[in-house]
Amino acid sequence: MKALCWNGAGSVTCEKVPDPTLINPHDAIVRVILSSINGADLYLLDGQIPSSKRGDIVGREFIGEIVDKGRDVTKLKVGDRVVVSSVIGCGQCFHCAGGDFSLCDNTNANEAELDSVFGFATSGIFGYSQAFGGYAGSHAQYVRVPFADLGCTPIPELLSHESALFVSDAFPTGFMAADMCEIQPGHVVAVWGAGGVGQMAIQSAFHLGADRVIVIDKIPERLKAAQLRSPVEVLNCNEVNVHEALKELTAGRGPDACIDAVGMNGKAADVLQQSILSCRKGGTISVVGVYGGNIDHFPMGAAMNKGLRFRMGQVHGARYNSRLIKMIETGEVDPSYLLTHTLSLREGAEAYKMFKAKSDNCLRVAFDPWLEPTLH
Amino acid sequence: MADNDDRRTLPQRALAKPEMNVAPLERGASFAAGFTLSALAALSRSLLPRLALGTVGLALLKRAITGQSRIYKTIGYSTRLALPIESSITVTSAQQRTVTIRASMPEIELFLQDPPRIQGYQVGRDLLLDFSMRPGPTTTGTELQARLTQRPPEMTSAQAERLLRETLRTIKQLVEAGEVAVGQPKIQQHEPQLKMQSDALSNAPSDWLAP
Repeated sequence: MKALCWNGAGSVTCEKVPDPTLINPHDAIVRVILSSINGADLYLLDGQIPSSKRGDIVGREFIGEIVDKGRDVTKLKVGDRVVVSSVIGCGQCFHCAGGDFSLCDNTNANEAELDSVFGFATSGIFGYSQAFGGYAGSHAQYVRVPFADLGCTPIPELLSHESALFVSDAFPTGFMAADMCEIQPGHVVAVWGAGGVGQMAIQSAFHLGADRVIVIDKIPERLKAAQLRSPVEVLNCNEVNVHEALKELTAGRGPDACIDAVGMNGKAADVLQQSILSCRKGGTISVVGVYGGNIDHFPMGAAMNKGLRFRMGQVHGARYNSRLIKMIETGEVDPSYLLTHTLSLREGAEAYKMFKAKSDNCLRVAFDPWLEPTLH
Repeated sequence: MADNDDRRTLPQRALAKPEMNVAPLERGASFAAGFTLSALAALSRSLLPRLALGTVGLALLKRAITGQSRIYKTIGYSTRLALPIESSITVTSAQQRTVTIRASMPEIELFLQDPPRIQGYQVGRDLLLDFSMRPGPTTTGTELQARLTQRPPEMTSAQAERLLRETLRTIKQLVEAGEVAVGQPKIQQHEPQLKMQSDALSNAPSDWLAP
């Protein structure tokens, strides 16, 4: 089959690789319909997530069709169209029992690698380095999905591919970011980053009862895209002093909750610093942007003395997916607008370049692995 | 991350326990030699021999006191046969299954007499393991403890600890999730091993794996 492989920092190539096969009884093989480039993929591409090996297949956000399944897969049948959670949970361990699927004890095939860095290993993630289990990613024609009954959510017939695609990662990540804020009526939520996850966090915050949502980004088109879908207030961080502007917009108190949907910038964490300083005293910091190691200049003093509450983590996809599918079905949210470009796997390098540069009003690029090149 | 990686962060250093890699008898010999050389250094009249004897003597004394050798650590060797090596893991699942696990110690031993090869070693032949169980930290958990009582002479303590950990994780995965996690690239590298795991799983008594 064709797949997009990581070949060192900054390099992805379309290669011919062996088809995946069923290995364990809870596995399914999914024929990929669409696979989107996710913000986290960029950290991997740039070599900021260690332990990637040349030849690793990348990609974690996808939908597809079940073409084969193991003997213990009982809830799915061949031919089902499914959206697959980017994070792999077993559904049985202590953490999965509590719905914290990204903390699963049993799905990271290379636990020892993360043990030494994080103290304890977290779950496996599709296409996200050896340290996160070494699972082949979704920018391919077929993917082996472990624990398919848990990780695959059937897509209702009337939902389009484009609407369902982001239930794989961006939508539940944004929803979880808002959920962790424990929003109360009257709350003001500030969201840093108007990319795919940020856009979904905005809509989820309104859905969960936020009175006002303020989004901060430096790309005017992304801010406009957010404004088109919800009554969000926008701040361009290239034009204003974000801390002062947030103070002014909240009558000097600061937002009740701050969502970091951006993540690390090398070893710095500008957004995290800004959100800690801008958040109201006793407020909540919700972090879903990706961090991979240690960060410099973390304002722990401000966080401690202001009594801030921190919530964070990789997405617990399976906890939310059925609920999110229903939200799309009822027309409350339609994430399909995130998908601005669909390309073939052979255009992988160009797609990553476009997504990284955010050129051509690109919000999200997806691969149709059965498509022939169109860019040239 | 390796213990000798100087780029480790503070939290990582805090987590890494200092490991002794010099056997007690060797520590005694190091102490005697270090003491003798230091005494000779003190008695020596010329500077160069005094410095040389003193440096070596103090290094040997340090080795004797700490039980740690930087040279051994660098080459991944240990003369300290710290057997038995112990480790434990909490197997947590539904109450019903936990009860089944508690009643299934013979099955675990049976399984480990015909187990997958882990890191190239055959459990039960190259390595001897004892298991015991007790209630875990939560009401539905069982703490599974393992003691490595025999290992091949070429295996270092660090390797043995890693292997023990991996064995416990394998059991935990099988009991809780019913299968062992496998990343795709590993499949291509170790296909025969995985087949053995699957076979062993298929042959395991049904009540052990039953939910």
